[in-house]
Amino acid sequence: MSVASTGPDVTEWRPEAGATVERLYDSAVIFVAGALMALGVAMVYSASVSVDGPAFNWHEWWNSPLKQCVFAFVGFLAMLVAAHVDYRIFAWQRPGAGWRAGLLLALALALLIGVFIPGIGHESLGARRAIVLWRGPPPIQFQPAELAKVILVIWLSALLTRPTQVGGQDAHPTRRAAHPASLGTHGQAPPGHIRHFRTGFLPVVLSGGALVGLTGIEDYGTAALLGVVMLVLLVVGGARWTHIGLLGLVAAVAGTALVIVKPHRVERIRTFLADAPDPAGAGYQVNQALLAIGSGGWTGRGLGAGLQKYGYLPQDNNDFILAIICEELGVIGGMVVVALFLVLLWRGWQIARHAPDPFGRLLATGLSLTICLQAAMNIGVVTNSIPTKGISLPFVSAGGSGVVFLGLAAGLLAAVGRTHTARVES
Amino acid sequence: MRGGGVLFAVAALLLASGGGRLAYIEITRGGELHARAERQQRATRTVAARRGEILDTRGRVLAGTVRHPSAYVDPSLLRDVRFAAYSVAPVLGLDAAELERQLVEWQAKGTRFAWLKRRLSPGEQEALERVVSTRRLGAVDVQFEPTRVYPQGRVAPHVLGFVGLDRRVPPDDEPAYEDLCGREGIEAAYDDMLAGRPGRRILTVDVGRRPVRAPTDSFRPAVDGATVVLTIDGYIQQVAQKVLGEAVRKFGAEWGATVVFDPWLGEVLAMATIPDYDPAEPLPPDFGRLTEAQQEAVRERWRNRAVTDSFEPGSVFKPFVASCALDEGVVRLDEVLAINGPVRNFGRRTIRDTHPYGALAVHEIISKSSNIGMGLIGARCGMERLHRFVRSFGFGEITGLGVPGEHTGLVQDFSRWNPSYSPQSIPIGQEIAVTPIQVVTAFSVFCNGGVLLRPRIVRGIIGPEGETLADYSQPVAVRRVLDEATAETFRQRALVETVTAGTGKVAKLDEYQVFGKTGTAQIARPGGHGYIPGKYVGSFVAGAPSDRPRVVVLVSIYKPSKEGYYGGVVAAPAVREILAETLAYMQVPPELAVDARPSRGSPPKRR
Repeated sequence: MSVASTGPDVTEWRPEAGATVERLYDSAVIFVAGALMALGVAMVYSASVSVDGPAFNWHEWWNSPLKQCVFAFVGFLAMLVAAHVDYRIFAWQRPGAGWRAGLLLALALALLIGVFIPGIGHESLGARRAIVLWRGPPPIQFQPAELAKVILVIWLSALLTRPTQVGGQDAHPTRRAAHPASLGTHGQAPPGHIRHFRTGFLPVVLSGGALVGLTGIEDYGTAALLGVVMLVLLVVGGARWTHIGLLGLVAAVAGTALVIVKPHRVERIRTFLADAPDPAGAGYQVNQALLAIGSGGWTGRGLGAGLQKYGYLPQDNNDFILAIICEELGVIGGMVVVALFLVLLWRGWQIARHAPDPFGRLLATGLSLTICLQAAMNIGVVTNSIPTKGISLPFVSAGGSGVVFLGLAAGLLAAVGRTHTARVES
Repeated sequence: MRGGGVLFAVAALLLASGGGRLAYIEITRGGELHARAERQQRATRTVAARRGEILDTRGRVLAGTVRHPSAYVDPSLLRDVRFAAYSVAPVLGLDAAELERQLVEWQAKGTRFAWLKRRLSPGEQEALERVVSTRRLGAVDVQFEPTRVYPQGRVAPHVLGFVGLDRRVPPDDEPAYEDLCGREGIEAAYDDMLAGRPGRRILTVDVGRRPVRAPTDSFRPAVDGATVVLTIDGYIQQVAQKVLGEAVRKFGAEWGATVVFDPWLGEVLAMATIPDYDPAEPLPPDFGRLTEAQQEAVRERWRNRAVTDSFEPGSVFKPFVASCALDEGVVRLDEVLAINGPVRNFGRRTIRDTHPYGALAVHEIISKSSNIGMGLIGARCGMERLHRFVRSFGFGEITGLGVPGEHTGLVQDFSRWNPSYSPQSIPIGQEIAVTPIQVVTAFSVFCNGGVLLRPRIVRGIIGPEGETLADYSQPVAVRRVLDEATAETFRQRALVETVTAGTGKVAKLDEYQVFGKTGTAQIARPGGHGYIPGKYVGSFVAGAPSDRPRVVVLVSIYKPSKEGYYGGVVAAPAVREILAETLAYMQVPPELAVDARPSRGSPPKRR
């Protein structure tokens, strides 16, 4: 591959059509994710303040907002490391090359099951979502559901782009030019192709569905996100619309079942369907979030000057951190956060469009949509647009697993952006 | 493989709609949400102003305020009732189990405020505050409750009045608050000045109502109440109360009233009514269980009868008519009138004297209190003159003392005066009702050279920083009533003679020449005509020393039931004693030569 030589006039320079530009990684993704992490550290610290002063404790840093500093730093490092990794190591380029991605899937499944094992799983706020790695001090635990988000995207991207049995060794089933016969109007999809139900579609749905289902037992919000991401990847991966429709039907039934399993989920939906959130009962949290947004106005009370964090808004450093951002930095501050995610989404689309291979393309699509749909869900909850579910704001909300694994996701996304294939511009 | 651009677009749309939703919330509901947030985050606390003191003329504190710490709880803020109960109870010496039960009950009722224990000792207060801060019991706090105290004891309760805890509504749109409110007397009349203005602390609080230091917090300090300085002298007041109380008891009277007055300044030095009450406890503890009549009797005791009650003055009134007749030249002081007593008819009206007099000079008519003689003078004056005399001394209108409930007395409208009765009734103090303060004020005209003064009981008002808010220390003349010479001679001849040789001999003092006038009046039936048989009010009004009077004292004994009823018998001894004590206390130089002391009688006590 040749890089077009730089002419004297730099502004006039354009890569030739089909040329591939190599760079370190997509720095915009790193920048946006890093900015959100930094904002998260500041806001988690701000939200931790109480009447007794900031909960700052050098000796027990893991019990204080210092923890978020450490996590954000680890997350940022993870992002940089992942950005330098060649994402293709997870690709299923040849038959038998999928074992790395498969290992990841097995790891995710094992961890998700491990949550339910007493002694390993940790219960907080009525849900078993964490695994204890080290009882401490400092205690180390993490939420497998956060890891599952990244692994689902990697696994499905690899699975969807694995070589088919008829297509030759290095043939990609999704590359239309390479296999015109397989996509013919009359032709049957080859075994292993996504359009083939038993060998292509079913393995994807079963493996992905296992992840989604296991996550959904304890964490409905994340499961819903994973389910949506799975559908997105099936669509982009070229699955038959009939298959996708069938899956959607099954997912709807399963989703309803998961709602009914836990009474508090029914309650949340009932609360949402009521005209206004009941300030005293189940709608208390959302109501307080709205008060925070409203009392900040356009420009906010100023960083650190919010008042809803003084016990009025529960989960103020976690799922509802956006409300605190809006109170302290104003609706404008909240919209800047939204804009950062939009930038990330835009970069994700660019990276997917210019990705050098189908795996990278699916990976970029899945990762950026995972991050941005999660953000959209969180914003929807905070603004009382969708029922409350425990879903955090990516990079910003307090919590180590979220920051670290989403950092990995962002890093992978940036890594896909390393190879930029220029398209013909007419 | 599909492009996925649509999916990215959908995701972008979702994100953007989230941002739009933020803006939508702010535009449509921003103000309302902001106001609601502020309401839940704000706590307004009233900082009580200290109620001002009431001082006597020498700066003694007659009524003051202390603040007692009291512990209260907001049960709705308690998360762990048992923890709170067992934390607080030992400190306050309460029963923990009982307190827990009580707290649960309050919580069930939704109570937001309840006293835990009132009037904590300093030790209890300190221990409670420590427990509250270490165990983070934000629902429990200490509030200071003001209590009115009377360091001098039961001094001038009728003048001071009393206070009660009540809701006070500020004139501006600020919230009402609980405060000591004046109910009677000076406490009520000067309530605005004494109350001060409460401070206001607007705090931002956390969900546990603990204050957060926020830039929106504001504090306006309280302005303490002003100090009211009275003309009352605590010592003279105590003497007057003691002496009057003895007289009321001795003669079995329904009540008695006395006023001690400075005739030159118009200052009330003492003003007492017996029976009295304890201003610290104006209502007996079992007031609610008393019958209607008993409750009314309790309220009756609050009456400052020296200003609120009027009665027919009787002979005490004679000097006012006679002095005016002299002043206008209707009679001369030495003019001898034919009495031809003891009974004489004036038209249809029959007037009696207690003794059969043949002829009396005008000054003897006063000193011997001849009704017939006054009837003759009245006849000579005529009704128009009499009406003018009565009004010029200030009868029939309030004196403007400035305490609540002052009565005007009763002077009939001139159109209702009866030519066949009034010319004889008015000069002997009938057909007219007066209050003790009116009599004392009018009597002072004889002492200060003929000028009617407005009586004063408040000398001034001092602000919380020591600044003078009002100065009432200067005498206020209402009008000149008598020529100076007339006032002097009338006092020196007629009024002195009453004490040296007339009806008021009992009031004689060794070192000072006392002058005065007795009076014994029947009591008019409440609703209608005629008098209550056998019921009298005996009065004596006197001043001393005669050359330059320093003090005037009136004692009225209402419905004495034993050992006499004449003013010279029931009231004069009390007046004498009060005069003696007061003159000695005021260090007035003796007027009479020591050699001239009569052998009988004890010298006035000195302290």
